[in-house]
Amino acid sequence: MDFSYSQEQKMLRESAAKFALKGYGFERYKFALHLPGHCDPAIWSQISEFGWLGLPLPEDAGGLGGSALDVSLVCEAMGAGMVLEPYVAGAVLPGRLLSLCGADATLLCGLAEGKTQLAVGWAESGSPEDPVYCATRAHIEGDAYLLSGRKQCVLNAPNATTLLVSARTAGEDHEESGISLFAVNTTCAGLELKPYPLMGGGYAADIRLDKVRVEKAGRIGPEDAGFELLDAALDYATVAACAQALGAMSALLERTGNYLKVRRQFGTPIGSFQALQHRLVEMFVEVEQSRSMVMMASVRAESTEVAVRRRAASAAKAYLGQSSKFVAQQSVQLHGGIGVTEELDIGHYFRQLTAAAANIICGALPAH
Amino acid sequence: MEQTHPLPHPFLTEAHETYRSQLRRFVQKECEPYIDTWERAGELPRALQRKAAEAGVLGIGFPEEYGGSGDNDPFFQLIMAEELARAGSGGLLASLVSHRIGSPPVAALGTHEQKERFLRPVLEGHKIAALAITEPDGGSDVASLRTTARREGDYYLVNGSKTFITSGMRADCVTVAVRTGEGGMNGVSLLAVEAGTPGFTRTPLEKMGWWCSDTATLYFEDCRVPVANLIGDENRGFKAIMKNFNNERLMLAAQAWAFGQVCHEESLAYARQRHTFGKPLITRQVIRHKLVDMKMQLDAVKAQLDLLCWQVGGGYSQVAEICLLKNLATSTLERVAGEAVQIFGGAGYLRGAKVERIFRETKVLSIGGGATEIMKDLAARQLGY
Repeated sequence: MDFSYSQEQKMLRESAAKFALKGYGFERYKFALHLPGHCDPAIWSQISEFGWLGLPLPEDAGGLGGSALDVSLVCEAMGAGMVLEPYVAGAVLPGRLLSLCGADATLLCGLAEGKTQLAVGWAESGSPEDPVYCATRAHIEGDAYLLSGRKQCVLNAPNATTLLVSARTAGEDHEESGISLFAVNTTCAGLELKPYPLMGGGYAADIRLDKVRVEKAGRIGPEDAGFELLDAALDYATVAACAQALGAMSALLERTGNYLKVRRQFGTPIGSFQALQHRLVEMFVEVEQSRSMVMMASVRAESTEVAVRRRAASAAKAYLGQSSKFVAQQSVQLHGGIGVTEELDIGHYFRQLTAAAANIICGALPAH
Repeated sequence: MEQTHPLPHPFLTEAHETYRSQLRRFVQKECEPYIDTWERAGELPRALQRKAAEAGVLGIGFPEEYGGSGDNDPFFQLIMAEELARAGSGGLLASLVSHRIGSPPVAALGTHEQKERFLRPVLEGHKIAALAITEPDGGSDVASLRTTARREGDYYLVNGSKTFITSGMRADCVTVAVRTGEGGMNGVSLLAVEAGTPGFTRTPLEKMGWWCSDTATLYFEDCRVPVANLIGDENRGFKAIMKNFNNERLMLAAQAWAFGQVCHEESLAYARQRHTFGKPLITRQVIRHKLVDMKMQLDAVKAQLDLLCWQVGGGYSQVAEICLLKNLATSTLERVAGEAVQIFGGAGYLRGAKVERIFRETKVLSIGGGATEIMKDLAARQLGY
């Protein structure tokens, strides 16, 4: 089996690294941290110009028709460069969902061009880690649907102009069939958002829908059969989020290795201490294991065999959930006091990875 | 290193230290030189019992009028475990003092005549005692034991079998748990069964460690035991067995800690003497870290061990705490012995190294006297969780 990247993938990887590590950096991250929604519009349109917002979208909808592995390469670079803008929640997840639904070009082009900000709302308090659970209902009234219910922790919702939400057109709350997907404009009457910032950056909101009117054309994908599409998109985005965490882990490994060479104690660089060398090696092992998991899961993220896809995404998430925390914690420990200051990026990576470990897009760890 | 207690200890007195020196001489002179021979032989020589009795090993904790020390201070038992462990053989500790589990029911519940027959000769080193509770179908679940003793005139007719019995091959008198009554805990009695009783046979068991301790399966086929050998009241044996377990577990924890100490001491000496890449092993930071981790874990065990010995000596029943200490001590030994062999490298894999033997003998402590999982269940129940 050939695991080497294609010429296009190498170029994509290089340009993503160039943007994230040289063009972006800690300063841009801190700048974005003070903006509403933790999203710098200038950066968002830059990402759009590179074509990355449309990377997972089909070419006939203005996308690049990239593979999940392509998306992972970009996500990894963004994780390494601590890009705060909501690439996974605002582009990868909704983009994949729209592609799978075969949604019309308006939304897809809007996303690819950076004009429409999107968010996907699926989690509900009744069973927050399970996309099957859907108590939000959509009733037909005349030529439109009326949506009522609540969604929680909708990532990127405060930035979004359109929300993609799951609502039940048939069946019981826990049934797989009967779920449909809708595109809802955030200015619709009856829609209420409660926004809040997240640990590690980014914004989310709890959403209340009270008889929100959506035209029939606003239903994306087939009626009653939206679950499998949502599930597939969540797996896809989970892998992308893992790739982003991998990027941050690699960056921490590199920074920590460099720090051990320059920091001196007892008259010698601390990297000369055997115990610390061993720890750095353990971090390296975890990063490499995680890289293998992300590659495996990326290759399978578009698999038509549902069990294969689910297992791969869950395995990557379960592994990265442990390893990302391990690498982040070791990195802070090896930096010592300076590792917990706001001035250094180490603590910020730590926060991002801790948040990622707790909740990589789709639910907390035990659900996988 | 040789100084045993450089700082004053809140619970130890001059008498304890005198006892320690006495035992240390006994172990150095009478045990250490012969351990490898005994391990190969698969049992201890009978003559050792006499010597042990003279050195004051056997009488600790038993009544003075039958040859015991008359002192019921657990710290003497702790010191005994610590000093006997220095020979680096769990089998020595298990078998030499198997009466520590076999004889307490006799001392606590026996008649004067029973004590003269089954206790005095054991404490004087003329006879060997053992305890037989575990059966092929069950160990810690004592209430379910299936060996029966049916009364027939002046005898009990005993039928069934017992297994994993320490000193089982050599024992002259075995304290056997039998069912004399209804099912469950209220039908259990204790009988003293002597070697040579018709219908009582035994076969040896080969083991991972504890080679110099003769472990056996015992068989009773219409074995006629005089009613005079009933220890305590009929059908009231369960409580005595449970009480016995408590002390056994505390002493298993003491053994685990003591063998951990030996591992630490041996590894430290080896790391100082062994050279790799032109430098002593001890100059490597990760080796020093291993050694301090071992010490840290052992010190923590010892702190709790001391406290519980003091509490038990004061008459406080600490069932849950003893269970938890046994788990802490034995899991610590598993880690410490593993690291000790690692520090020794290839030399730790060779027969003859103390750490090699101790490594093989970690599991028996985590399992015997109630496995780790049984200890957790019992502690949780005792604590009302």
